[in-house]
Amino acid sequence: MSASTLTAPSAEAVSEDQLIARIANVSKVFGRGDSAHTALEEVTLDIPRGEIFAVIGYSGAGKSTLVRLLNGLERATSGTVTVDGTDITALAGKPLRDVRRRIGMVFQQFNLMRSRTVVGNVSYPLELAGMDRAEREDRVAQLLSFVGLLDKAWSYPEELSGGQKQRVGIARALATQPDLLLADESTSALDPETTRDVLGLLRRVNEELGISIVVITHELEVVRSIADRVAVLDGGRVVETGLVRDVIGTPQSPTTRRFLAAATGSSSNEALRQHLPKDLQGTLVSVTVGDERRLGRTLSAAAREHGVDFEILRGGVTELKAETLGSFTLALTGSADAVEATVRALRGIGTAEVIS
Amino acid sequence: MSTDWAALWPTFQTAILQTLIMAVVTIALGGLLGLLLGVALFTTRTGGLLENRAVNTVLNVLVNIIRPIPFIIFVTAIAPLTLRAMGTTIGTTAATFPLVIAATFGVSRIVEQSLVSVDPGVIEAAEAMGASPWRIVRSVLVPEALGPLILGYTFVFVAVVDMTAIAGAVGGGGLGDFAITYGYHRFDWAVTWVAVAAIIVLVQLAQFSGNALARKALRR
Ligand SMILES: Nc1ncnc2c1ncn2[C@@H]1O[C@H](COP(=O)(O)OP(=O)(O)O)[C@@H](O)[C@H]1O
Ligand SMILES: [Mg+2]
Repeated sequence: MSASTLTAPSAEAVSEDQLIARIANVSKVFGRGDSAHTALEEVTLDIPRGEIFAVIGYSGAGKSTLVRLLNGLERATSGTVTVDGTDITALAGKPLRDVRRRIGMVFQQFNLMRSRTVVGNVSYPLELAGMDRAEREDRVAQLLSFVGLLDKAWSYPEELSGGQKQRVGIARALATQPDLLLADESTSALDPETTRDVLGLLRRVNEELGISIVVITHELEVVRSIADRVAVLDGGRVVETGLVRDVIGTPQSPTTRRFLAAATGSSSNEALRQHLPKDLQGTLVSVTVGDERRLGRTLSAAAREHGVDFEILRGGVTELKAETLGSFTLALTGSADAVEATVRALRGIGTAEVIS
Repeated sequence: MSTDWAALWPTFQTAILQTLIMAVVTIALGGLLGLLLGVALFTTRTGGLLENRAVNTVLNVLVNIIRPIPFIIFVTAIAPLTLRAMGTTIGTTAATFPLVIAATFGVSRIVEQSLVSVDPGVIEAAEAMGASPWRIVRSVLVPEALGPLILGYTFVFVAVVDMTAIAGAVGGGGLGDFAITYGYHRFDWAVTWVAVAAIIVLVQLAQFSGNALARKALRR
């Protein structure tokens, strides 16, 4: 299921060579017989090249399983996984290891080697690639400068803060110049401020180095601040996918709405009704617009032309990666025709849903 | 009774040398074989790098059978094998055979336990970077578990010194043999105590160096 109001050009179907990865009809079952557990069910996702693609879901939704399919740490029970044009479902041994070297991975718990310094950790993938020492030293210095950790080059992981460890993790993941970076809950072990720093770094990785990123998260904030596109995973199924502004602006699935409600503290439409003044008249309309100033102009015009009265009951503006998104609940009072005309006008600048 | 130390001195020196040779050869050979067996035990576990239920079960049963046998009984039980492998069952060289085998099985469990302490996330990260299983063993597992490995090997070395005394009693020479032959059988307690003191010094030196090395590996 996808959002109903896909209007922007970038939301149109992407052709196959513009995809960094494609997951097609993939199911994953752990165990067999009575203890069989379906972690993913008929998942299909197209992940466009050059973007930040987020997968959000609650704990146990199957997010880690999904991302691990992309570098073959987990093998699909059925369906196919294509990365950069290579079907990796059938690969094993050396060919699979070669594919993995072109994919970076960042972990929630950083997973750095305690026995190696920062330099040692970052150069590990380069050693695997068979790069000679002098070349490795140059590359590691370059990477540490990119993530801002040159001064910690000779420190051991236990001497670093969580945010610094994750920077090392990111530098290590970028070492072999991958086309795709996988980040599984890469900020979930960090405090809010460090989270912002690390998300900022991931964004630079995407924008300055042109690396496609798949971020796995259970925090809507992560999706909002860096993702272009998002898939919502629940119980091993993709319940919604699309551009972030569409999915957040006009959520279609109950799961997405729950995430939004938890993040904004807003309540469901029924609950909203109960909290409104008893004497409130009019039609409740939920509006989502990209440019909140146009909302005011549109409503003023509607009031003039159709004689509709409006009241803004609640709402706010959310900062997305490259734009803002305003969500408001309005009460419109006037003739049925006038209300309908106003709703039409609102749909011209965004989306409008009549609640009651 | 007074002990003729001058006459005993050369024998005592030989005994120390024999114990050292048995212990060092055993820890080197048994340590290496035990490392391989321990790595095999660890990597063939469920969810391991080279998961293989059949191999893991066979190895586990084998280790569980051999390890609990008291060494004095083990030495006599595998005497026919020793004879075939070394051509004799008497002497320091022959005694090294059962020592190496027993140490191999003892070390394997200690290696396995040390490797279990390595963060599975780090192993997964290496896999994600495209490292082969053997490469992961060499470049991740062993370096990451180096501290516990050194302490484990030190523990085994001390146990091996203990075992050499037993091997000595059944014809292997060394400090154990010296203490029994010249101390116990002659009712000469002074000789026994000197042998004991030599063993204590050896064990202390080993433990001290092991601790120092482990501290260095763990950086604390
Ligand atoms: N190796 C495994 N063996 C058995 N069950 C697993 C395994 N890995 C994951 N699962 C199960 O699959 C489901 C999805 O897990 P996971 O992908 O880790 O979820 P998430 O990352 O969204 O929290 C969970 O119910 C989990 O218990
Ligand atoms: Mg997870």
